[in-house]
Amino acid sequence: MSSATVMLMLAVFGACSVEAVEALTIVLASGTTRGWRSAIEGTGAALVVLAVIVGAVGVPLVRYVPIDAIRVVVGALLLVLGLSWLRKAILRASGHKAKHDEDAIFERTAASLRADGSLRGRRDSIGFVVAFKGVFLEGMEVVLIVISLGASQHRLGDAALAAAAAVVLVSAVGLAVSRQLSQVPENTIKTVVGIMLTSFGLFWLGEGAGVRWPGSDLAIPVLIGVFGAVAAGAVAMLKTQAPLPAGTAPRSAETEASAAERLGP
Amino acid sequence: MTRTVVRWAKAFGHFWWDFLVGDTPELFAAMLVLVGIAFALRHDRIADVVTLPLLAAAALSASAWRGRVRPQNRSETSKPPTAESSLDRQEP
Repeated sequence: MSSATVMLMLAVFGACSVEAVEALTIVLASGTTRGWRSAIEGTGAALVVLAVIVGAVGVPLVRYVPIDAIRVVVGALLLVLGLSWLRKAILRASGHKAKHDEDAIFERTAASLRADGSLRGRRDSIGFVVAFKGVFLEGMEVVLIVISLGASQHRLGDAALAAAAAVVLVSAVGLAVSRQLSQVPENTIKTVVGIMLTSFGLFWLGEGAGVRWPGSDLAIPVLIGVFGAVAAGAVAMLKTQAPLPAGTAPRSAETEASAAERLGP
Repeated sequence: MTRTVVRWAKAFGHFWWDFLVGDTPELFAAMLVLVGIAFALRHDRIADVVTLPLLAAAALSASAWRGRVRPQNRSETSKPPTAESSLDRQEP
């Protein structure tokens, strides 16, 4: 297994872990308030749909589209996604943006579900839909990352395996600690994944366009180092202008809006 | 039937718009520029491998700088990051 493949799997694992934490918060809220049966069924249905999308889009992509064309498109997509993740992580780490608060999301989701009454042990369409939407929406970004990274290296199976491993691990830990998901160092993981996605994106974009990177795959760790240094520098610079010390920015505005957005009307 | 298709098409377009552009159009523009430069400079190895990372890093720094909470907002409300500044449509 090459170093690029290992890094690919790490990037997919990290991205999937972050999204799985967010999805699990919603599933836990749904399960504890509306009953576990519907929450588990909604989660399972969403995972099946996501797996079908990976198979339906990813496999033909790997088999029938020229590799250089895939790499340019995938590189561009990963670059936008990676830069966007990294930007948010920088703003959060420097105190310019509220951090994600899983506890607040859990409380808000649970409160809104409790208002509709408890249906423990029975099938409940609200619990099913909330769990399904939570897992499906958070999972779509993972699907894009799995397809993108997997297709660009012809390692769709490895990428899907890394994503599945992350889901299993986060689910096991999440169920064990229940509502302690806020303890997960989410912004740190997002920073690392953002750096990796940006580096992979730029590398594949260049490869697809015909750029010959010095050292071939070895250019990826160099790019990771470059973007890591840029991110650290940006955090240090923005901290000097932070409205509050990093990490103390209030959470309610973002988390409430984010929870409301996920749950819909 | 037609309404459903239109609704799905709109939702699909909305997803990609949010995914690619969202509230950071400067990053999308930077990506387009990088694609153009990658093709334009592909025969000049040194220029390409230096220019691409530098431009991507510059775009990231500029976008993060643009997203900071500005001092005038602080004095106006004495509030930390507002809902508007905190809420991004694409929430990874």
